[in-house]
Amino acid sequence: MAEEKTQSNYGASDIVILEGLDAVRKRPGMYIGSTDKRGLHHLVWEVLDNAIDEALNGFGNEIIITLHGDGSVSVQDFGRGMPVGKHPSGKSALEVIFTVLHAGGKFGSGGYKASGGLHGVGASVVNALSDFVKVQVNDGKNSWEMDFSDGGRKVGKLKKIGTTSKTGSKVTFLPNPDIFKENRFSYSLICERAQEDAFLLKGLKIIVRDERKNKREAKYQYEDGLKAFIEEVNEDHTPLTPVISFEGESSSMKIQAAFQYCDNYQENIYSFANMVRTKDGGTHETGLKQAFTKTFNDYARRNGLLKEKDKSLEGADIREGLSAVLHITIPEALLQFEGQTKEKLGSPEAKSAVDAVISENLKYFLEENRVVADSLVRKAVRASQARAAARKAREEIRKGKGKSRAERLISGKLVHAQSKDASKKELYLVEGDSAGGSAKQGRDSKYQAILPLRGKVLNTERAALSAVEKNEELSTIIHTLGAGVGSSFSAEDSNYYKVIIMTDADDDGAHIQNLLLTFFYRFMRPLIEAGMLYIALPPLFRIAKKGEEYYLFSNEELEEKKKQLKSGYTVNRYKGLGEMNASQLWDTTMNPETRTLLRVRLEDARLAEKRVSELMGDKAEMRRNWIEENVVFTLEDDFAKEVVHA
Amino acid sequence: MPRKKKSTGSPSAKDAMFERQPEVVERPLEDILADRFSRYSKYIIQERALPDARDGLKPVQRRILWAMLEDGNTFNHPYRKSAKTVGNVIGNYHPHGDTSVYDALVRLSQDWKIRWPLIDMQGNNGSIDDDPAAAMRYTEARLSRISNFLMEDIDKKTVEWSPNFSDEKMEPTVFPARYPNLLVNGITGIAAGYATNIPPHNLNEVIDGTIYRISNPDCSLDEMMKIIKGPDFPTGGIVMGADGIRQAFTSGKGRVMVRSKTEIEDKKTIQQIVITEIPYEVVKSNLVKRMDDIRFDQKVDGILDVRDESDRNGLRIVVDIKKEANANAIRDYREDKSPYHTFDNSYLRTVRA
Repeated sequence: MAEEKTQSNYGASDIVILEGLDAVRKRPGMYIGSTDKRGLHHLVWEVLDNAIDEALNGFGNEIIITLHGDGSVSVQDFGRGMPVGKHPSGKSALEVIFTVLHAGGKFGSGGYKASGGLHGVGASVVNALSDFVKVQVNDGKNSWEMDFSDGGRKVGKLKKIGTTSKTGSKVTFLPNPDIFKENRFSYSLICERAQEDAFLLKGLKIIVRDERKNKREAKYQYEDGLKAFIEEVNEDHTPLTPVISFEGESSSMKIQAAFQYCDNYQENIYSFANMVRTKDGGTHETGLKQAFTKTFNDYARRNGLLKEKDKSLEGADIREGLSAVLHITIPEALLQFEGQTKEKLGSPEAKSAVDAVISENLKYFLEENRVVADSLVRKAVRASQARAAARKAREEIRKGKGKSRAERLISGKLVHAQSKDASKKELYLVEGDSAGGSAKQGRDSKYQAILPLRGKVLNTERAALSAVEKNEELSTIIHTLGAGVGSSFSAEDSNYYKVIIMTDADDDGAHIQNLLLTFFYRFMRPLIEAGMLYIALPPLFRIAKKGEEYYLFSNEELEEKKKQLKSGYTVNRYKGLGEMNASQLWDTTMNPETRTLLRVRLEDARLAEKRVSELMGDKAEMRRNWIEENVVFTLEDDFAKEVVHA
Repeated sequence: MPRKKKSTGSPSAKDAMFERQPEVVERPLEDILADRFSRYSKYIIQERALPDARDGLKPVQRRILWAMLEDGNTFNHPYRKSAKTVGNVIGNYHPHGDTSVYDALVRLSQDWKIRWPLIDMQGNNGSIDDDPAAAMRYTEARLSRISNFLMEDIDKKTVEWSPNFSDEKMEPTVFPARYPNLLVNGITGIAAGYATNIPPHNLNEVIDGTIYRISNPDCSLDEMMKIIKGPDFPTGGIVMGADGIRQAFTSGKGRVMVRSKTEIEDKKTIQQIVITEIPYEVVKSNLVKRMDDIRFDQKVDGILDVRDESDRNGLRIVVDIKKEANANAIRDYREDKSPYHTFDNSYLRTVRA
């Protein structure tokens, strides 16, 4: 937290107007990503970010998020309270915050020392997309209230409603149901987010209250949040070391870190800068890796675990089985992100600062725990040997030794592509033989290979590597890609640079996608990290009218097209790939010139891990809770009414 | 959750475009998983594995019965080829594999699995030894008499209807059900996150209980348990202890243990343990095999022979034991070690409870 309060007058003159607001209502997707569930919760994050920035700067250490019975949500903080004075533009500052896009206290240098919500679109975007917004501010003297409604078109007066000695702001809003089809807030999603924020900011207490039908409340507050973070991430793994956590300061940056080694082979590093997740890493993460590599090698050499002529251990081998979380708090002046999104930290100072703090603490840990340290070094040596051996084995398979076994396994199943250029080749994993046939006939044989899968593949969430290798379907996939499996998997060795899952657009297809995603996540994660895993999107509808026909991929497109065609059309709903001819399948789903693919990304490793074990693991209880929270059981189906407009 | 301001887009939110451009939409793994899982779980819970509380049927069962009624394939008409029924069900209401439909059809006719079979099947419909039924081109089927009561008055606007998969026909979402079929026939189903396992009950008891409940809506469990004493298994057997039953009736979750019905007969030179009823859902051939294994492994002294003497007169498994052996002890041991107990974790959970 800020050791000196930056400037306790976060006043009206700190708000800078950058541009107008109108476009938000027109194109909500540009501001909040989408208008589905994700976008809906984005509104909460926007408001929550503002509350957390107050806490991050040392003002107030409690935040209350309440889901109200009427569908609205409120976020209350106990910071300084939003400014209520007059803004130079003539309006009240509060009105400016909520009605002018790109207005905020974070552009100038006055209000905040460190801040995550740099983009500052926050409050006004929420207002633009809400039915109503109610803001209550306590500034230590008076209580103020201001109402906005109808997407910010109607602005109420700033009213003084009483006197108070408290400070803080409370923002309540109800998202516009016309913009958000799914307008039910998910308690569990908000809790997950609140927990992550509480992990990162020591002492911050976040309370999430659900006052809807199913009343409940969760409190998140951690003395050592990063340690708790790692403990949660590694819940399902066998630890090799306790969780080690420490913090330090270097060149006015505050660095907190925690790490633990487990007996798995993956490396999970979660990095944050000013409470913002830096998914693509950046300078601070480089600093951490550098520190681990250097410190471990120094230790190994000093203690004779590496002989003079031995090569130094590689970073990747040292980090095998490592889970680490890193949080750096950087003053605004030094904060730099690379690219348009804030997902990669660019501040050059961060690298040496993180390196310094981690090296020092890690060194102490290793020296004070010689037995554990020695075993970690030996583990890294083994990892490096295994890596070398796996690479050798893969090369042998490629050159001939062991090739025939792999070839026999995939012969008769895989339909090869002609090209030898892996970077251009695509592997289609197709559900069922009946669809496999169409895919074989419809494909571009130069670059597209087809591997039909029979029925449901094994759920690999709880499967051991040996069980996966024994499973016929999965081992065929492994050998077809030819890039190893588990820790020996290497994405650049893959025979195909695009792996495309193509299933029916029905419920079982959804399940098969999940089973395959789990397999790739657990046993070929680098493939996902490299952005090589895709899901094909076959059309859901065909609409035809006198010789014209169109394929449509969503309900929205269908509605649009219906309006355009007016009447006299027939609609088919596609449920299986087998319902399409080979040429139709090519036109709609496989032709690289026209198709739409869904690329699977790993954005938030903690959430991905949690979701996979929650939904695909063997704990029925967790799954049931998730279903009760997230699945709406309705039998909506308005398709019948619309079939024929003759 | 990353705090990202970048547009990730979603296939449903993008502008409708008719001249398609190649496009790659990025979505995070956890979102795809959650989306697919909610879809699949919703389907499997709502439309596949769990019964409706009102008629005690899973969708595939309801569709079979409805397709047969629609076809006039009732108890007072001649049998019709099973393959024809299966074809009707797949073609009109249930676009899935033929084996799963035929398996469901066969199960509805098996009187060792269903207390009151809803289907009357002509030909080999399997056996308690888990022999498969004859192929659907051989067997014939029609609705049984009791199915009539399940569907009676369905044409009198008693139930909701919904369009079938191709929107060409309408199908009932539930049957009017003149008796509580869920309790009478019981059901087992495993969905995602939820499962149900309800044992069958006695038809007369359940109907008496229902009438009593209608006249005394506030009656206690004790009163009700005087009428409905517990499960009633089509295969007989002996329920051990009533605590589990009470617990299941109170909380919806309980464990009922069932044992075989046995007698010990004294012959001239040997004794015999004669089993005439076995626990519900135990496969008889497995049971005999397991008992024979005890003999082979000589885990208990004194067993001479294990024979399955079942025939058209009924179920009969005989264990020969030495004259001087302790028949009761052998029986107890064997009951411990063979698949003798049915543990009924009755989650009384249904789609519309």
